Amino acid sequence: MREKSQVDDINRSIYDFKNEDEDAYKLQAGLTPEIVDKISKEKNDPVWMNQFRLHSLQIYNSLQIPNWGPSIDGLDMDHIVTYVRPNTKMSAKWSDVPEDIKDTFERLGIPQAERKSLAGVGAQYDSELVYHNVREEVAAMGVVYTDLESAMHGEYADMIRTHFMKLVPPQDHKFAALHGAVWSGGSFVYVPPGVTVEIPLQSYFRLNAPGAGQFEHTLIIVDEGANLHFIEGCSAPKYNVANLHAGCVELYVGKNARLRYSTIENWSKNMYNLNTKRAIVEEGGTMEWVSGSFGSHVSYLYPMTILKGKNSRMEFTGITFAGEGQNLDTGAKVVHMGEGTSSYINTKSISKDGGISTFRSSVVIQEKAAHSKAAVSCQSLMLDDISRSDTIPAMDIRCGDADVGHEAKIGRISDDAVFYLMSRGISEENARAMIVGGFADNVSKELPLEYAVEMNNLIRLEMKGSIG
Amino acid sequence: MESTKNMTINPLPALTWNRLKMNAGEVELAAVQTGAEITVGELPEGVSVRKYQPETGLSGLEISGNQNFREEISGNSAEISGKSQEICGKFQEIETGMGVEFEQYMADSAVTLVEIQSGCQTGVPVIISLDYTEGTSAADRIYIHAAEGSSIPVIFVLKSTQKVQACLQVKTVAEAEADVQMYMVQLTGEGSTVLTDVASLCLEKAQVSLTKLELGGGAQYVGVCTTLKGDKSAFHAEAGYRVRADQHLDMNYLVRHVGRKTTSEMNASGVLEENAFKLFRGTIDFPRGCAGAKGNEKEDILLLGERQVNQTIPLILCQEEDVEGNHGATIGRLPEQVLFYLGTRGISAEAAEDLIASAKLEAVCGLIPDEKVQQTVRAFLCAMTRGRTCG
Repeated sequence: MREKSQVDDINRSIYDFKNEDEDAYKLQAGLTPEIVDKISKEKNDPVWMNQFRLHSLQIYNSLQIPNWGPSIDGLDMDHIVTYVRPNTKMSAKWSDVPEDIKDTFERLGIPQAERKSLAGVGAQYDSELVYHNVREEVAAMGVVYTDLESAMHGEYADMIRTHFMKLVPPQDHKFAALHGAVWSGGSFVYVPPGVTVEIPLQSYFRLNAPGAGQFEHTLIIVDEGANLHFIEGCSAPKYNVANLHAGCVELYVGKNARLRYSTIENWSKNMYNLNTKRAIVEEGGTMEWVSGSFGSHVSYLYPMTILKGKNSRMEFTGITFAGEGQNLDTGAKVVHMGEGTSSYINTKSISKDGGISTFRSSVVIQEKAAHSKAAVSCQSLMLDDISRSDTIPAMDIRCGDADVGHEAKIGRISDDAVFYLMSRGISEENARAMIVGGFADNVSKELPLEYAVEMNNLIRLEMKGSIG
Repeated sequence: MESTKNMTINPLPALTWNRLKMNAGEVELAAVQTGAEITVGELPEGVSVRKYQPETGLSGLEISGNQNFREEISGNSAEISGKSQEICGKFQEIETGMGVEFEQYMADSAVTLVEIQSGCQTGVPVIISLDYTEGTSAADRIYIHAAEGSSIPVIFVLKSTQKVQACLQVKTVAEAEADVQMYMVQLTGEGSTVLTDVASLCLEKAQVSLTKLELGGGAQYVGVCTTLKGDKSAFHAEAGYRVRADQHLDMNYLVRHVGRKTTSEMNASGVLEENAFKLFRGTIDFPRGCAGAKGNEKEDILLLGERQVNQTIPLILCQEEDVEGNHGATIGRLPEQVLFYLGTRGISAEAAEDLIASAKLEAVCGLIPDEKVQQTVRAFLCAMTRGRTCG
């Protein structure tokens, strides 16, 4: 009889360290108009933003929580602190960042990554950006990479107002409305026409305070013919109270522009990750998503792309790894509006130790999207019989001249493959880890080398000690 | 009594975004007035048919072959045996694709019980025709009990020449090593509202197959649910449809692999014309304990119009490691090279589309093990396409 494998839980020691937050300024827990007003004052919001926040709160109170997807009963907004300001101001020098926060990001490898392979870095700690910098040569090309609050008061104020929460309106769903009410921090990127940023920009989000929420807003505008790769990373130490992440990402991809948005999400397992990401792509533009979901207790994450312009295209490559105590509901959405648009969604998911992984997608081809093509491929791997893996892909085709393909597979690691590798002198543990690593190869090969290595390390750690 | 009832039907076993409007169907039905005129063809040896009305207990009417028994149920007093009562109890526990509200709606309608005796193995089909009269609202339940080791094909033909409301629920219990091959063709008149709900329970090594053609009617709703309870039991479905302008087809196929080493195969193949609406929900469920199970699902859709709505949502739900599940869908027009090839042989684009569309449905129609029923289907298709696809 086949031996059952025992798979260890992920070793999160490199992420699971915490700083005391006694110096931080915190608002009281809960969600009221007074709290929203206080956040607005803290942020020195213009009047329109203050009104927008209060209106969003009204919408939040009027909307129901989803009747589909994982349970979020453990999330009680009355016990979530929506704003935690670390005891520092944003700086463009690492040396100016307080020691404990600097130490946090150094342990996460952010300054080293900036020196080696990034065009710019933003680092958010709880509700505020603590560091933001962009290389001089990149800034000289006219690339703007700054925190959203500064941008809202500077020369880009009108641009922010025109684009902020227009792609993801607060009416979209309850947690989009929550974001609209209490958002804080996040980045603004503008790449001028024709500019190619050769190496990536990165924002890293760290949530340190227990029982807190992080609601950063990322707004990226890649103008006509421009090209950008943006990387987002996130982590938090584990607490025995619920934390909440309800960020929002809005991406505008101009005519013939290209944007790649890569995420390695590694929140701790007490985190409710209710994030919303959306892109709109103009004629001939390209949107590429690379997404790795490893952390969180519960995730609802489905980056959406609106292919508005003729011949625009989208590619989504994702992997989800759900372990003990995790219910990760991930996938992608695409709406084909323009003629000749194309999309490709390619995902892998792995479930182990009672983890639940759900792939959920929707492909909509509207009436005017003639000559459009869409393909969806999802593969799921079950590592034991106490876990769960579901696939829920939806297709809604309203144009006669469309070509849509879909395929999904679910299964386990083949005994034959393990036997083959073992017959070549590889231990069973390593054989299984190699097979899972190979299964995730579609994502790692899309990432810059350093991030691919980090992701492969995560998988290796997850598989360590897998033979019992 | 209410004259109409709004119902939620065909619920998706795992919900998704509400804005997609795929989680369930909504239908408004008139109160049940009558049943269909049911005619049972010749019965092979070892097969019995009887009809009963639930509110009068289990008293039933023995039906011989080639008999129409719409009106004859009243006044009958034959007792159904204790064993049959036990069999009837099994039907109550069968999960359906159409859902609880439809089950309640059908609760008072007459039941026709088809019993296939143990060891009865025949290739001669039992043909059950259901004819609907214009303007009526009819509901019928047909229960099939295939005893251990039996094997039989059963063909259902739903017909009307005019607009009707027709509801049919078929429940099958396939005991160990039984094999029930069902064929159902829906040929009702234009504008009809037709709900067909086919639910099966398979015990050890039992097999149920369903070949289903949706051609007539206006609003069509199809629920299919098979529970593979016994080890090594199997289900195979072949669905074909041609949906015309302003027709609405809403399907919910579900197979639950409960037993070990169970297998399922669900294939849907269809054609959508201009302004047609079609929604296909297909679910393979692997609950914990169904080790060694395999399930495959595939949908292939040919789009003939410029504007139609095609919704497809194929689910795999999995709580067992040792399983294999696959699903796939292809949706599109005829490839240019096919049109070009046929064009070089003097076949116009319109004729080529009709040719390929007919071939898709013919592949399903050809599975029906009765030449007369096949001819009836072809004649219906011929009329449906105004003579373009007549053989």
